[in-house]
Amino acid sequence: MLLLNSYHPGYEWSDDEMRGVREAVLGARPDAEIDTEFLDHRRHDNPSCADAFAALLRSKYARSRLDVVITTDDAATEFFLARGATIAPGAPVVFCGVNYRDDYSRAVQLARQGGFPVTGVLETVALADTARLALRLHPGARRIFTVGEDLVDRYDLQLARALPGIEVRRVSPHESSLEEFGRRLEALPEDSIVLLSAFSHDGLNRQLSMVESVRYTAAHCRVPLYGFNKNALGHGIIGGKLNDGYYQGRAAGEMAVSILNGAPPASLPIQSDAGQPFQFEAAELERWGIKDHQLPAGSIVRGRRPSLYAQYRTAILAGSGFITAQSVAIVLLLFQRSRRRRAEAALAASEQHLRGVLNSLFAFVGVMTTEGILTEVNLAPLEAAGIRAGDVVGKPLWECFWFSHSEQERERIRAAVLRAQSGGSSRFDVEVRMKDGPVPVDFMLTPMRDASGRITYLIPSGVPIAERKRAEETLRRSEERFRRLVETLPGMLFITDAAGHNIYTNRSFHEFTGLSEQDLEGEGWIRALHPDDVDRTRATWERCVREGRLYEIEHRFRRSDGAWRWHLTRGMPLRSSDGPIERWLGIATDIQDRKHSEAALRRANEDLRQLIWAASHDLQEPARMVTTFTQLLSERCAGELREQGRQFLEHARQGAQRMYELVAALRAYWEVSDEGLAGALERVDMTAALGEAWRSVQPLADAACAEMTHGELPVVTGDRDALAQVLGHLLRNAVQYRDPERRLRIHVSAELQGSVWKFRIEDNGLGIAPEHREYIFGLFKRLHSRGDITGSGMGLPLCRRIIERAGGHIGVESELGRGSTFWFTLPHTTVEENNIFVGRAHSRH
Amino acid sequence: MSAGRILVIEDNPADVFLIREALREQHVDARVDVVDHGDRARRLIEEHPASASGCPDLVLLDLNLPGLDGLALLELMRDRNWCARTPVVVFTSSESRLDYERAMLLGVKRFVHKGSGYEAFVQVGHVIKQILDPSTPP
Repeated sequence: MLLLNSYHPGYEWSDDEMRGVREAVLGARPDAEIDTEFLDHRRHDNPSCADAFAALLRSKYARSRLDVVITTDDAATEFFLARGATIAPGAPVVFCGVNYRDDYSRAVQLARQGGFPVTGVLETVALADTARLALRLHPGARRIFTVGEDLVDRYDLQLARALPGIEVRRVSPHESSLEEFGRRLEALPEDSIVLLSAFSHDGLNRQLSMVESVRYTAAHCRVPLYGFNKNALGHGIIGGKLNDGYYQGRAAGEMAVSILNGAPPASLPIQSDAGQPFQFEAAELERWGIKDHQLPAGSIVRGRRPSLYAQYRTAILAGSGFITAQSVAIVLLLFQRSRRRRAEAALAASEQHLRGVLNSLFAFVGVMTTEGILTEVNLAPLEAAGIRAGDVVGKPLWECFWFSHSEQERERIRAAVLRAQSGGSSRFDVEVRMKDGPVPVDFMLTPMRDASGRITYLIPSGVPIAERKRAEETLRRSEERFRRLVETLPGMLFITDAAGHNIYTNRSFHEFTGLSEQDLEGEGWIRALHPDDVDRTRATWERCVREGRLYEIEHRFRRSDGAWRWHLTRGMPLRSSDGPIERWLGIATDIQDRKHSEAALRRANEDLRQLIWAASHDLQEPARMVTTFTQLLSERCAGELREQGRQFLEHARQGAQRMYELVAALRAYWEVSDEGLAGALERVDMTAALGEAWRSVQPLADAACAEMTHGELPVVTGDRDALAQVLGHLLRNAVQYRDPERRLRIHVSAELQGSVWKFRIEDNGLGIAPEHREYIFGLFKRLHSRGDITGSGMGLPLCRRIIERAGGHIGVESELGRGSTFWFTLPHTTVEENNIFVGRAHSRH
Repeated sequence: MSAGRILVIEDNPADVFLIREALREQHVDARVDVVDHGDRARRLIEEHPASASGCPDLVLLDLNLPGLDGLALLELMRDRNWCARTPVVVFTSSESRLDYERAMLLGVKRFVHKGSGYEAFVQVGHVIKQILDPSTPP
């Protein structure tokens, strides 16, 4: 016969099974030849190994006939049922220790249909038997806790069904750390029994050996611990009807013998009970005071040492008599005395310890006789009242200083004592007199019983609650203030729960919508929204509530008179201190007027923009025509006119020229706007730009005998033409508004101020009155009539636009009659980091 | 001066008048064909993929046109390879650098501003004369 093992030699379980098989087979058929093979599944669970192993077996057993094959455990059994047909066709199979599975009987059925005669021994969990015995051995037990990974829910259910009236629950080692698991074990109620199967890891995936898991459980289990597997015996379990490979091996071996003796396998039913006995550990039986006669018949007790008496029986008998008896008596007396002394010392230490603890409490604690006479009291209530223990000890509690201020409180204490005498506890708030007057105290009176249930003492205790009361009052007042504030806020305020359902709306909300708080509750507020805004609002709100984000939306609410008014609604999640959102606070502000003026402003801006565009582009052509033809007229046809006609023509020509210039300036201004053209950014040497600008005004400047000097100027980033244009305008401005009484001097300088360059163009001209300093930067603003000084009035606005678009500012400082200083700033940047955008314009004026 | 043919794309009849005047003063004795709308110019380009013999000797192009504007017309000419050898002179009141750069990129021969007086017409007449008759002194 072939004995095919799932595991390896040295694996305790397999060794037990093999021992059982051998004893059973060789005991009955000493002539049997048992070949033993090992699948070694636990160490090499690998299909290619299984294939190679099957090939090996095939070549080994190709020529010899196998009368029977015993497979131990699941792996070998499955292996052989799947491949055995090519190894030993038709050989009867006896399996051993196969775990019960719902589909197993079906697998066996299929194997039998395939011509495989199969029978065997199932590994059956005899938990119910163990549990029943445990309940009998520990009569106070009312609950069973199962521990371990093999005890799947199914077993719990089986147990619960088998043991009506007993609570069956799991304590899983896989749900937490091992330490936490240990604490849970320690906390099991006294009327529990634990059924343990070994486990291999805890909830943090820390690995344990089988023995470690049993020992750990035993060390933390303070209630009787029964087991599941024989291997756990000797490591802390009391015992049980344990799974034992030896007995399963024996049962399988006996079946194999029957087959060898000619019985057809089909006639041998699959066994679910291998006849395993109850097994116990002697030391544990002793610990729990379980006597042998309480154990079921056939029980095996392991680890029992022969008793002293049995060992030294002869010697003891020989040494019997007076000396022995006296020695024993002396020893007993000594032992008892020392034990009492130790116990007394421990008691005294423990009392002192307890008193220290009580005296350090801020709570009030005392001890009274059942009549209500105070015998002990801790320090706190004495200190608070400014009295000594001698003032109150020996008196009924209600006659003590603490209740001397109020007949009513004395009455309540007396009533509580009466109640306690009949076994009832009382708890109420009471006014207790202390040295600074009465204070509120949360008072409790409880009877204390001895082991027999008799009331021996009454324990009064109390906690001063002045702080709590004050805090409650403060909270109430602050809530009241908040509510008043919220009620009177002009905005429409609402509060929702965490899911976004409205639970509060303030008065403004009701007054605006004309709806009541009930109308607006939950999702009712949506009814006040404009139908076109509902979907958008709902979607935004739901998303914000889901993601816990700030909520902000503009939508229309219906006013009580039916008018739709735009509102800006903002919502903010309110979190409790530890994180989750508890409420949403929201406020809706009427922005109808703002929206209206915004729209008006946008329209006005757009109109203005179009007007400037039209003026600058569409007027340019007719202006050009008029200038060109008046020019041709005066050049070619002047001879045909009389003197007066020629004068008229000259006026027309000048007017047309000026109109053309104005239009061109307007156009230049427009082109520096957002829609206008953008020049390329480049490194601009401001010294060179100044030179260029000066050349553009040179004819005018020379005519005015002007003198220009400059300091060191930097290189900046910007649009060269635009910046030269700004300098040109400012120089031309200085020339135009010079003081005819003195020679014009212009000085240009630059200075780094933090992150900006500040450029200054100083002159000694006419100067500008303070009230005009801002005015001159407006469109078409000129300070002088046309006869005095020419100019389009567009130069400074254009400069401002260019400088502001470059990220700078422009302004003027001036003293009337002394001169003006125009200044502008430009960012001090490098080309690489530059993102300025300088508008560009060409103009001719 | 040999006769040639100039295509003027210009919507302002006064400008056309002044152009003719300037050409006459410069003694440019060319035939002047006028198209006064951007869309009509487009049809001309699209419907007459002119052979070299059918091409004008010079195109004078305004940029600001009703319908398709001058730059778009230039692009269309280049896309269609329409009269690729005919020089194009832009004559416009636009002072935009971008317009100038785009026109130059599209291969125009000269870019002349209309300005505010008759001088500009004198100038464009001279430019045209120079292009049509390279012997003209600059």
